Amino acid sequence: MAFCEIKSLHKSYFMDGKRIDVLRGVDLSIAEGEMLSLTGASGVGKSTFLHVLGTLDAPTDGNIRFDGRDVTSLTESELASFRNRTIGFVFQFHYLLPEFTAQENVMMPALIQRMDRAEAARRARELLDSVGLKDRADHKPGELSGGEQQRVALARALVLRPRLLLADEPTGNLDPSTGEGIHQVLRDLNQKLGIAAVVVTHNEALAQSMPRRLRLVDGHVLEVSAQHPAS
Amino acid sequence: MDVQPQTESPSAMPQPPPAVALAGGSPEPKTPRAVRPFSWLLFGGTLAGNFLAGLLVVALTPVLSVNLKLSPERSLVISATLALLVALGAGLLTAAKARKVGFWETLLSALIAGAGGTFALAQLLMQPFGSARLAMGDLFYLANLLGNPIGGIVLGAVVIGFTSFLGATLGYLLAGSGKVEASFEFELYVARRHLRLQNTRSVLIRFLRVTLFLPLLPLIRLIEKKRALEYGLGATKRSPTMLMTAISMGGVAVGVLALTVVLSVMSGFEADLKNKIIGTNAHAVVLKYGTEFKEWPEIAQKVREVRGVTGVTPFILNEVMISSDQNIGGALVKGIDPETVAQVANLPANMKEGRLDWLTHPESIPRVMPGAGEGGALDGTLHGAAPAGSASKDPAAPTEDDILKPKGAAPADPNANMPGVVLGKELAHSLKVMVGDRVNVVSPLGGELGPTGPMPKSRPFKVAGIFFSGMYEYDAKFAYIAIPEAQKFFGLGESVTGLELKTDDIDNTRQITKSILNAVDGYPYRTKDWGEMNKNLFSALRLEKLVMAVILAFIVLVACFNIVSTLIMMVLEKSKEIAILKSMGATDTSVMKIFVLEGLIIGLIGTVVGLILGYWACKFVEVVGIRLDAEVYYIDKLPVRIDGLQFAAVAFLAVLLSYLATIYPATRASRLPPVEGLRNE
Repeated sequence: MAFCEIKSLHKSYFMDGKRIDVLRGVDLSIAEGEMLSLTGASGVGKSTFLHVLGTLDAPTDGNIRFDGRDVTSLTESELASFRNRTIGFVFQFHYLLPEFTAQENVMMPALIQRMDRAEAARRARELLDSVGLKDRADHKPGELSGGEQQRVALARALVLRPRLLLADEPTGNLDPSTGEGIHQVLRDLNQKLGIAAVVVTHNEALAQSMPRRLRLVDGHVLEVSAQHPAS
Repeated sequence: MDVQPQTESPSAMPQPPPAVALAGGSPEPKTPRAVRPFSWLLFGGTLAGNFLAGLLVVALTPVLSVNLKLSPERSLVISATLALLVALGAGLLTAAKARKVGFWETLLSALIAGAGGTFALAQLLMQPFGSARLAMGDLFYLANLLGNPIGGIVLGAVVIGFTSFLGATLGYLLAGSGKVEASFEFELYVARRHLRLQNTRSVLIRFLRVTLFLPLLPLIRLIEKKRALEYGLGATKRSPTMLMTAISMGGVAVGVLALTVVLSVMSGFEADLKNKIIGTNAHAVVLKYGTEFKEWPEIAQKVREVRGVTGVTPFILNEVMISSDQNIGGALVKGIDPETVAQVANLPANMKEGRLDWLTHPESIPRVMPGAGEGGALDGTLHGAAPAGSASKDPAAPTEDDILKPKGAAPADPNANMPGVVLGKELAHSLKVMVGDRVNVVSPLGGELGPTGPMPKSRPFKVAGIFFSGMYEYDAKFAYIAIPEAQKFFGLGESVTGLELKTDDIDNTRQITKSILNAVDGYPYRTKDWGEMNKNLFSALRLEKLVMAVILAFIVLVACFNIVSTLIMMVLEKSKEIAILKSMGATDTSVMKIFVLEGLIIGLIGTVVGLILGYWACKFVEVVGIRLDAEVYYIDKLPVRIDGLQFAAVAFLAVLLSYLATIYPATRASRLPPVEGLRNE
């Protein structure tokens, strides 16, 4: 059952007066709990696609519907609330807030929602436990290793149980064995929580392990192994 | 399909996607969320608010002061407060609805309203018609203080426009996300982390270190550094932004310190002056139109019965010349009743030499100063000036003639016909006389009619005492004689000039004089209170203070620019964190709140530190004292008056300015597109 439908998504930039078309009509539907990999050459617009899909950036044209609601026409604050509840981001660089401990970082989306602090802390500890960082909860990001940081970022993305996880090369900055650990956690959480995920990666092994694989070429998304036909 | 998100759309409803097919023509690419269209709602709302506020001041002030008989100041304060609330409310509501701070909208509406208001009022001002003229007088109380009515209107327009902008920022902060979110808890949590202020105890310790041990701070630092080295910890790392934060706090603190100290000293001068004026003069006088005021005993009785009046005494005031053997000077001679004068003035307490009751008993006045020695007689007084502490510094002046004259006069006219006079210290100084000396009081109009008009009338008086009030004007101009002598001398019969009175509350004198006027049935009587009698002096003082405050407020303003640059640094440094927060669902207003709070915390800490340091500096001046040349200033040390209200006003100003300083950087932070911060380096 597809909950997210993307129709003829366009994104163009203007640079020095020249128009650069990054996305030229992307059509895609994502089903509940589905795991997708997205590959493509560097600079082809994978990150742009994730940003637009995650409503961090507005598309030039086209629309994105979540449960039939077009999110491209929402106001800024409606989008913020939408992101908070529906989307979880993991970036290539961990992007944790350096002033806060691991646990506080994981709590952050809940605090933005103005959830009770004790409840947020409980959830954060639970998630840190499930990514195997129970005893590192009170460390600041600077005191954690790269793999640990990325696990914290993953926990933070999932603390509010979003419906769609957008991961932008989550292991791109890690050595292969650490990266494999992250992949494992990612797969486990997907299984356990049933959160749909779009994982942008250069890692062929990771991409191969995904049930559905996409490739971004020339501003269009192509199915590599079409288990579900693209709409 | 064109589905540009309408970020500034006043309606919170998601717009249905237009059913237009994507006909190949991709619309003009724009960065939709960065564009903030001009909000006519905000512009119109603040414009209406500004006009309404201006109208409120103009219309309500005269109604309050004329119809409700409130004092002009109070009516202006009431209507101005209401007007500012209206402006604030208009800004707040429209900004919340428009979801925009709208600097340009509010600026434009303030300019239009201000220009329109100025023009309209200037027109009104040109046409003096009845009550409108009166109202203008009330309205421009402050403007009069500035000496320019148009300046007053412009000032009012600026204040109103400014208030509506303030309201707009508050409205956006509280409800800019589309629903009312008055909670700042999460934002405060983040802001404190950014400023490294999460640990209340360490903040308190640092705070106390600055406020209590400021002079010892370098020493403490040195010890800490040494200890850190001993434990091999090394100096703690400080980010440049943190350093700038500390400097910004220091800047605000210095501004607040300067403002509080200078204003306290000026208040001290004002209070000192007020004390001296009120001590020498009455709080109010009751006068009568016309010359005859024979019925004063009955009036005095009526006045005494008015609530709030604590003392009444009659007086006669006239200009005269006073001549001694050495010199001559103009003076105001005041006939007083030595029995009751103590009820209204500090004259008895101000007596430096001689006694006040010698006015009525001139026979008791010693022929020379006590202690100078009877045998020395007047020679001793004049030549041996030093022992009496007299101000006579011109020993060359007395001649044989001077010494002979009083000598000759004394036995011929032994105490009998010579009434006493009390002179001010400076007057006595310039006349070179002391207690027991003789002076001639000459009234230019007091005498009979001669062939060329009124003949000057002259009469000898004996110096019964010398007073020192501390006010040069009084000490150099005033001479006191007993009322019966004055009546005789000026040919007034039983009449007096008026009644002086003292009240139990000098700040309420105006009200009390009103009830006095009621008690004596108004005309032909009139009253004047101390404020009216010394209007010029106190307006000058107040203006001076205002100007000082404005000049010194610039220090705080500069300090606030420091806050602006620190926050901009902070925003740049934290652009990545801002993007992360937004990706997690923080709203623009939430991000704005974070940076507003950071600036406010900087301003607040700076203000509190400045207030404490200012209080200490004032206490230091008060307790230790800074000497002044008493000859020049008439005060021997710098006066200080610590006024809580003044401190509160300075604090309010500083916090308000630092709040405003946050608006620009915080708006920048809130508008930062998230993808900007997430772009990989």
